Amino acid sequence: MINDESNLQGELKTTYSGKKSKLIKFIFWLLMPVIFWFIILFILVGVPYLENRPFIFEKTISAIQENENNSKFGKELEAGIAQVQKKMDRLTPGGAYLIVNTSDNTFSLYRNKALIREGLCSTGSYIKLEAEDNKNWIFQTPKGVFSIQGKITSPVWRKPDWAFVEEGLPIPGSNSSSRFEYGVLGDYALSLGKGYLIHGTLYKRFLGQPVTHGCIRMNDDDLKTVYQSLPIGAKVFIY
Amino acid sequence: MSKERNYNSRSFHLFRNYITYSILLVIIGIALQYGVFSVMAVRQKMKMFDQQIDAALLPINERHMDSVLADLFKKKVFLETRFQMSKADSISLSVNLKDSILQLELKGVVIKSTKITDFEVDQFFYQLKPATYQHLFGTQSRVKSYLSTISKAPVIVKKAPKDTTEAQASNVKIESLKPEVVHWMLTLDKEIVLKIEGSDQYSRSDWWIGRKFWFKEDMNSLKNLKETIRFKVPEYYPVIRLVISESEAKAIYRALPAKPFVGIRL
Repeated sequence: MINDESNLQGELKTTYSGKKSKLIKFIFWLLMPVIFWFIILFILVGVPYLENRPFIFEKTISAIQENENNSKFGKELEAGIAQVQKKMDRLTPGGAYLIVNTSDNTFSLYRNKALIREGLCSTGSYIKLEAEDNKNWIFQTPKGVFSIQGKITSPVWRKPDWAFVEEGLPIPGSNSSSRFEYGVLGDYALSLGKGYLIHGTLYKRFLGQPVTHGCIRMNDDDLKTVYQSLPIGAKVFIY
Repeated sequence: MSKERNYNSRSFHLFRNYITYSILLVIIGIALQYGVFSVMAVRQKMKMFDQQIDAALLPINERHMDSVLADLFKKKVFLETRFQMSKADSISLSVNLKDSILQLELKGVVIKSTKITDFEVDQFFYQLKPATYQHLFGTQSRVKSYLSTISKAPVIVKKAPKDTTEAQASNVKIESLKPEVVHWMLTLDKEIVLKIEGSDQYSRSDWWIGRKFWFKEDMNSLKNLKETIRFKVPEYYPVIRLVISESEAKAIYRALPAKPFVGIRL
């Protein structure tokens, strides 16, 4: 009888401890994803945070006041700033200059460091034209600082080779009459060198879009103002 | 027989538990190691910058600067950097975090100026000693590499038409006009990373392309984990993250030359 009771107690104990260990295992497996989640969180968030707070335990610099020295140093700094600022100011042209944005196809005209006119223009299309004889042309407006090298009224367009290739026409001789087109460049043209011009256009609906072969096109009124404002030698900044 | 089976089953359980705990411990160890080494990387970078400074600049470190003096000091350093950049013939980028302005400059002339709508700077930069600050930002940095969601030049290849009929039929869509998600990243020769996000009210529709770009970039930095497992201190690149409008981000990115100069003011 006693033996049976002690056996029963032993079995109950075993069942209880078995359940306990199962419960512990269950909790452990339940916590595993949470632990992994915290590890991932530590790597992705905790570490960048710690990287940004590496000096968290460092003492702040003691504020030693050096009033006299500081005011002298402050004056030196102010004088230095004024000096460099003056040099920087001298770099911006005092006269008229033009800035062309080839990404938005806009221009801004400045005179005496103040904006006097802005508007739409058209710049290079970034089309690369490939001909059969391994010749190719990229129609892009060059970026950088240029200066007005010439001013022309009633300009005539002398069509380069690519203009014929693009239209599927045979390339004529260099002085052929078919190379010359009148009235397509507007009333004025300003030369930037290497064949690049600021000129007018017949295709005003394309202003604000990159559609040219590298030149800068403007509408008639803007072109007139730009022509009248920019003297030869004036700077043109293209970006 | 059953005793043997019980023994086998118990030893299997023990072995399984041992493996599980070991793996868990190893993973926790790696994570901690990664954390410690990453913090060490930041400290090493700071030490490296401190050691690089010119001896002539060292007296500046002795000086205690209040906020007014520090502001004047940074202003002067930035102006001097911009003046140096003006001597170059190509377009340069100036980042003024104090006034939240990003500028394109050419020969000292500001050709484009845009508002920085938001920015984040690693705390590392605010811990710099004055001489180290001057060493880092007192001269222009050159861009070492670019990474971007858009191409630098949107070139479209067009075959020359054979005759006038083919020429009239060909109609090319201009690539640079299509709306694009614009995010780019510059790594400077002074081991600083500039992250620029183009974001405004018009750019919400496909914002996930930008997220994907940055997520891919963040995943790249996980190679540091590999380094730490080998007990190596990983490379740390302090980061400046800027948010500007999408169209401005595109215009500025395309305007910059291959290796532009960059001037920064914190």
